Amino acid sequence: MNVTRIVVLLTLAIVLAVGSIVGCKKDKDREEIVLPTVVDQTGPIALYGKWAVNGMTMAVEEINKNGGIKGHKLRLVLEDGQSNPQIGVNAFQRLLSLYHPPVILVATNTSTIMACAPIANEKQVVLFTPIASGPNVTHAGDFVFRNRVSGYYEAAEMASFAIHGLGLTRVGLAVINNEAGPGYIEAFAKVFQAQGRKITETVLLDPGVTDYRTQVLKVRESNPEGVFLALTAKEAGTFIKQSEEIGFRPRWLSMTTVQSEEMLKTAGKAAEGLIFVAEGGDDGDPEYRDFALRYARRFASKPAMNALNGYDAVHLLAPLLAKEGASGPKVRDVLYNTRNFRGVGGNLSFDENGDARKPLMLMVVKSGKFVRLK
Amino acid sequence: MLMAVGFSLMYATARFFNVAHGIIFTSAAYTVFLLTSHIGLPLFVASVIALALSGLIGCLLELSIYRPLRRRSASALILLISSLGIYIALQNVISLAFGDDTKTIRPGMPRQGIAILGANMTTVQVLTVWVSVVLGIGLAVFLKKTKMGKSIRAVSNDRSLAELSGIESDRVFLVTFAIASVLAALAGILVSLDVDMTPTMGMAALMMAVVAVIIGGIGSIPGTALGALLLATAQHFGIWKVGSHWREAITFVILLAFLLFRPQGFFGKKVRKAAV
Repeated sequence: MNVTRIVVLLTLAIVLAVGSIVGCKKDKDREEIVLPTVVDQTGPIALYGKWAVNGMTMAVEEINKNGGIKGHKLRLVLEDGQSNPQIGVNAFQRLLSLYHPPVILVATNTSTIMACAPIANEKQVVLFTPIASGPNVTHAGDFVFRNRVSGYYEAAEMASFAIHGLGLTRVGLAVINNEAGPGYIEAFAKVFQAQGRKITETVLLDPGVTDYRTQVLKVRESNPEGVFLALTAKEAGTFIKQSEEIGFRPRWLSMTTVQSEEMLKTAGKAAEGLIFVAEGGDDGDPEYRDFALRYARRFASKPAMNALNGYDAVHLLAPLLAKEGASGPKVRDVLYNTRNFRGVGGNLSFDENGDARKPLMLMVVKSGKFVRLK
Repeated sequence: MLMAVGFSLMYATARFFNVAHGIIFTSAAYTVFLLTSHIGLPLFVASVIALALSGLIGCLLELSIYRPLRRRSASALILLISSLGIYIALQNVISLAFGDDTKTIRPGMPRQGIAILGANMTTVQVLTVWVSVVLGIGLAVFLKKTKMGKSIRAVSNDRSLAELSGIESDRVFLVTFAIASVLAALAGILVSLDVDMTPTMGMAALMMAVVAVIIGGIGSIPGTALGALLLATAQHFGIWKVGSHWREAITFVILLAFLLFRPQGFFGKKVRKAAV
């Protein structure tokens, strides 16, 4: 048998093999409803991604236990975004071309969301994120939605409380150095400075860096009464810890992002008294308490906000996927008209930008725990 | 500085960019974490075990990967790629085993540091400075005064000539890798005590170490120490005056300046082609 014949036969064999695999997959897809998801399973915010997946997994299991969606099993298909926009976009496009879904869940950082948003808008596929809080996501396009409250509103709420609740007149800002950073600065400063108060210093902190001592010194030298941290849990914990090491103990203010054991582990007792604006479960809500109990049994920890949002996202979107002729534009229209969806993370509505409207609350770190501020 | 000195020693002798040096930095910290939090050993004992293990890992990599490749006349590029593969594989093993979240080996809560000349330094930072100075001096004495130290210098100068003189270069490489790995491991443990640990921390530390070595001059311990000091000062001065987003730019501008105007670094030797 000559070489040409061998090559031709080998090529045919590969094509047949791939075809049968794809065919089997298509058969499998016809039995199941797929919910494609890009999630940061590795990278700086891998923990947030993991929590979101925990919540989503619980929701998928519950739906399937109750008979699925119109008799079809729901299946989560995960691709790792790695907190890298380029990789996240590739993953998004791969899911788009494999499954042609009406919606793709994207549980990644804001930078990846903003990279995927133009594709979602062009292909008219809903991009739904349960974890990105960057203020710039508000204007990411008609097909971008989130059930995570924009950090813009959290920062503005925190500024308001700093004035009316704490009577602060001089505040420093420590903000994450990424696309979302300028939005947090603008949101806080707009409220705080409008009342004649002063932002004494603004420092940017690179994600993934572990030494913020120079920035801590810079803020300390500006003599603020309080410092607003628009940072992830790890960065916030590190900033607080390194402030404690030089004896700098202002009033710490922050957002939902710091509500994590990782922050408490890093900052320790130095985080006592940290006040932050939070969305998330209310212990007074029986649905949240039931979810928290089941989550604790399954994952041996209290559910973080990302887990609540991941859970709610699946319960919100799954019924829309089951509708006859479900498409991106149809899902989009339903979401825009959603009012008071009762989720474990709070009652959810969407505004004209696809941003979540949910009740916010004030929390404080007391005796090493996150408690509601009274 | 410890990381940079170890890298400098290894590069001067083995003549290739060993990316796996970065994972030794990380793995030592996680070894201490495993031994303290899961087995309950005291921090000091766990650290000593981690240092010994890291030295052994360095030797193992040399014996099982780099030496066989060298014997097959592998180029420096091949050795670099193999070390990169080792780094990626081991980093992912650490991620899988321990997770990507921040782990801590700090014994106790964050505390205000000691005031020294107007600055606040934590106990770990003071310890890091002392250990770096003592080990730097110790290594310089070792290289200058001991038989093995002289052999290492001979092999880094000219391997062929050293072998002709009866020096076993394979043995020299083994000792060099062991020393460099212990230094990287110590750096990893001290850094983790200061700023906690993540699986990806090794690469950033390695890159800074490489820049410090180039600035200081390959093979020169005082040069490497000076390079590390210059780099850290410039970075933090830049953050203070301009902003943290310029930190990496400052690092690479300094590197570029040295490569253009003083490629041998502070104390490296300028090499000229011999004219025949």
